[in-house]
Amino acid sequence: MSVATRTQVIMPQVPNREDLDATWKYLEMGVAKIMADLQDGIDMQTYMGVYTAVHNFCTSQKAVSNAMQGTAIGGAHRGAHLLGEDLYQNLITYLTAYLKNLVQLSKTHSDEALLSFYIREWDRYTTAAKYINHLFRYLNRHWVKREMDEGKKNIFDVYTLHLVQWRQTLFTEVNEKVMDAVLKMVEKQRNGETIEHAQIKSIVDSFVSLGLDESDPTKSTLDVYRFHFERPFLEATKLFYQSESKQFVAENSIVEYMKKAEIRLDEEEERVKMYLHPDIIVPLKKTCNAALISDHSAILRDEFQVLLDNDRYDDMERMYKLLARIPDGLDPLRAKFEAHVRKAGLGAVQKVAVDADKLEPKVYIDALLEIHTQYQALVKKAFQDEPEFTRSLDNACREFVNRNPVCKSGTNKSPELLAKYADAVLRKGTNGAEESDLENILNQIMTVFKYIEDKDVFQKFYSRMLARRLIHTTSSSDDAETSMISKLKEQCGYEYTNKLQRMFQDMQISKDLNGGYKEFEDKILDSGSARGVDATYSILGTGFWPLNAPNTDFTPPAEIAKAYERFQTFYGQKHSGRKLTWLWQFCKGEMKANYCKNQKTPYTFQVSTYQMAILLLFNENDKNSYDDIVKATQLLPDVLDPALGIFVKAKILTMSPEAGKPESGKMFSLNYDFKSKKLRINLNIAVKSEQKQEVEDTHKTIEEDRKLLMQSAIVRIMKARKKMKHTQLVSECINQIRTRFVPKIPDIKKCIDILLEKEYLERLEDDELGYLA
Amino acid sequence: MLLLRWGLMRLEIHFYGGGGFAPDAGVKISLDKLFENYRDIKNDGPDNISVDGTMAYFAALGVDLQDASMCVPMEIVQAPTVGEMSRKGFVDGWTAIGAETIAKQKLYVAQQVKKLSTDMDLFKRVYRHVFITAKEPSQKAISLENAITYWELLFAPPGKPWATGSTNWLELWVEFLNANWTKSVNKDMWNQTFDFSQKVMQDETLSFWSEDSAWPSVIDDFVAYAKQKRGDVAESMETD
Repeated sequence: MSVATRTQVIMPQVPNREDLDATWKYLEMGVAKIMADLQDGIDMQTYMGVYTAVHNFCTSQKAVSNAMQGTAIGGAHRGAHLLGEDLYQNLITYLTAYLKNLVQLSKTHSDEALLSFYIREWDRYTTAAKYINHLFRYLNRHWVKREMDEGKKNIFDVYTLHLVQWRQTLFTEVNEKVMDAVLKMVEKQRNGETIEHAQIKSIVDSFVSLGLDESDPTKSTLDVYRFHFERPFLEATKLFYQSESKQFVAENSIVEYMKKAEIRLDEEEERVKMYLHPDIIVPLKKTCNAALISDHSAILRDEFQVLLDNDRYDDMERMYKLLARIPDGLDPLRAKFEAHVRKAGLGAVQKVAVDADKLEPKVYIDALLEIHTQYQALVKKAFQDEPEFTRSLDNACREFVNRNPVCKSGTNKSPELLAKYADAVLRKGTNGAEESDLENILNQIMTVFKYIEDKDVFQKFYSRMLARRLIHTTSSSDDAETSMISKLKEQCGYEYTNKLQRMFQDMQISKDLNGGYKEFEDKILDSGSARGVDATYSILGTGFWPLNAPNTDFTPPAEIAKAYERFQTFYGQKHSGRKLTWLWQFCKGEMKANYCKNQKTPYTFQVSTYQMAILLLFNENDKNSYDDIVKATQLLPDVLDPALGIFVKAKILTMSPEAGKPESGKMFSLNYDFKSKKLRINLNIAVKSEQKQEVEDTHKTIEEDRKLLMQSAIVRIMKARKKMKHTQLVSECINQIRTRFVPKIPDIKKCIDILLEKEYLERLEDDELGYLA
Repeated sequence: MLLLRWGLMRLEIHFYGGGGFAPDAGVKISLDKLFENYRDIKNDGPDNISVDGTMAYFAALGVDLQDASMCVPMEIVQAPTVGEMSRKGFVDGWTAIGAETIAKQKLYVAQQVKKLSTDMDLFKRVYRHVFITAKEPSQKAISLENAITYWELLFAPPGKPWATGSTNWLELWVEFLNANWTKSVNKDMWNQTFDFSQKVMQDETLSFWSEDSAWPSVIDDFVAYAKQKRGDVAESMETD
């Protein structure tokens, strides 16, 4: 479509160089031709003609600008260059007129037609501007450069001048209408219609091009674009999504809304890639996030509890991703999540804790693990393993592992049960777990262990049970034992597992020692007596094993006494000066019962040494009174009575009178009619009350150990610091000990009292304590 | 007469000028003589005065053996244990004060006893020394019974009674210890009890106390005891 003003222009001859008016007329015609008919090309003659005319205009000697006559007498020295200004002003006049005309024409268009018009005219104008810039190169190189060098404001090279004129004359008039049209199109697209988005891209480019840095014309800024495009665009976006989301939320579920919001956010990102300036990405996201997420964050968070309760992983992930986009969006979720996990953990414990005394360790630990596993999976799937959520999970787990209905009396029930569970896993033949399974279970134990606050309690119970496994050789696998110890070491350091490792070493050394002893014994036995008993010995370092000397006197039977005296001689030769204390209560043996009637193959009894001593008395006499047994064995009733009880119950011995417990005055006789389906009979059974006693003892030693640990921490700190404020000392002490257990302030203070009394510390002025070497 | 006036003047200077000039050798000689007057030459060691001599000396000072006033001269002469004095403690203590005659000493002690309930530095000095005299030289602590006797002696006139408007703290403290404290009283507990009593006198609500503060556990426990005891009282006071 051609416009009336743009008729074909036939270029006349280049005018005489002295005739300025004619020269400008000629130039104007050339410029107009380029503006109007660039698509038809420009012939060489015209090009050269215009170029020459510019040169002529600028270098004309005689020509004196009308405008300069009054003021520029002293400016004659500027010579030919004076004339550039005339040309420059003429060009401005021409462009202004041209653009004013365009503004008028634009008024006949609206919406998309206006966009088309704007883009078409912009393209024509800027392309022409490039050519004209070339043709006016002489002006640029001389007059414009000089003016700019002298620091004149608002003088531009010819191309930039075109842009400035566009902005001043046309843009200011039409930009709002253009932008309205743009926003209408975008809204159409947001409503699902297809639009010609290349148009918007062109508008964006045009607006960006008009951003000229006033202080440095060679640079461009985004100011114009930001003010005239970005600002209204963001405002329109905000309004659109505010009203859309409000309506959507009213009519749909939150989950549906989240899906919608997700799609919208993706769309907007796509929009930037498609036709917007990349500069908008950050503010646009912010605007969308505010309208789509922040404005609705309260109802989203309310929904979170519902999603948690129903295990809606996908929807939680959606919510996580949405709220992650806004500042502090996730904090309330984390708090809710933490509370939820804690509640779930307590609920799981409550379910199994009906009878806390009879609680199976495995049932308890499984209950703890199940919750942890479930919510760890949630953190991974829905919350992308985000560290803060992991921390919330850890906090919750630490809470319900250490403070739950089972731990009513204190935080040490969990470590006790965990250690018992570990014992059950590592003990031979209890559940027959596969090797690979075993490793998994150990890892699970470590998961719970991580949350245990009273790690020292676990250590105590674990070492007791390890000791038991080692001396009774009931450990299912050395590899598993070592693996467990190294896991503990990794978490708590060398000191924590030092004794456990030493116990292991002792067993190894004992094995070698027994080999040596066999040889030694063989040599002695060559010269006479029979071996009598086949024995193995374990030498346990006193400081490392959590075992106490026997709490009863005991006279071992002669058969055993001979054997152990021989070993003592052997050991004394190897390591002179070492004292051996026999832990009779942990010794055991097997006896063959050759006396039974009606039985060809003899029964084998598995018995403790104490039981052995009792039974051996019946080699001499078929009947022994309670007092005889006491006299012969020297055992205290605490130990003797249950041992006898087991024999009576198993019908190996009969007691008369039958009623009552074993006690002074009773008579025991060997039952020759003993019968059993099994050939091997285990009589070495721990009594319930003994086990309970042991647990109590363990807890008692823990209290003692804690006092020592706190005192040594205090002394260590004070030794290093010499002087310290009381409160600082207390908090430092807590810091040092926290990895083992969480000390209570009054307990620490009691330890300080003790150290003051022992004069390791002294009280100084102002709540300060001093160290006394 | 002239000599006495000169001595008195010195005494005045010492009080108000804060001391600061070297003690005269003459004073020391006089004090040595005075010490000899009370020493039982037959039975006491060359540098010691035992019970009888000390009692006689305290009587000459006009000190009442039934109340806290007797603790004042014990602190001055740094008595190593009840009823005994050493030559060094006697001479050094009185030389520092500049009182070498019974008359001057009597005057000084009387002044100090009068100030006992108002001059807290003095009271603290006397209080702390009591622990040293009360314990057996080989022991590090005194029995609770003994400690209570001395607390009752010290926290009563002419000492400063440990009581505030609402509470007789000494009574409460003794009641608490008798019910809950089975151990002896060590030096820290003895000294801290004094510091605690001072705090309580300034603030009977015990708001200065916190679990984090440096008090020994026994005082923490006592605070809990006292708060519980006074719980009802405090509430009824608020409703009044």
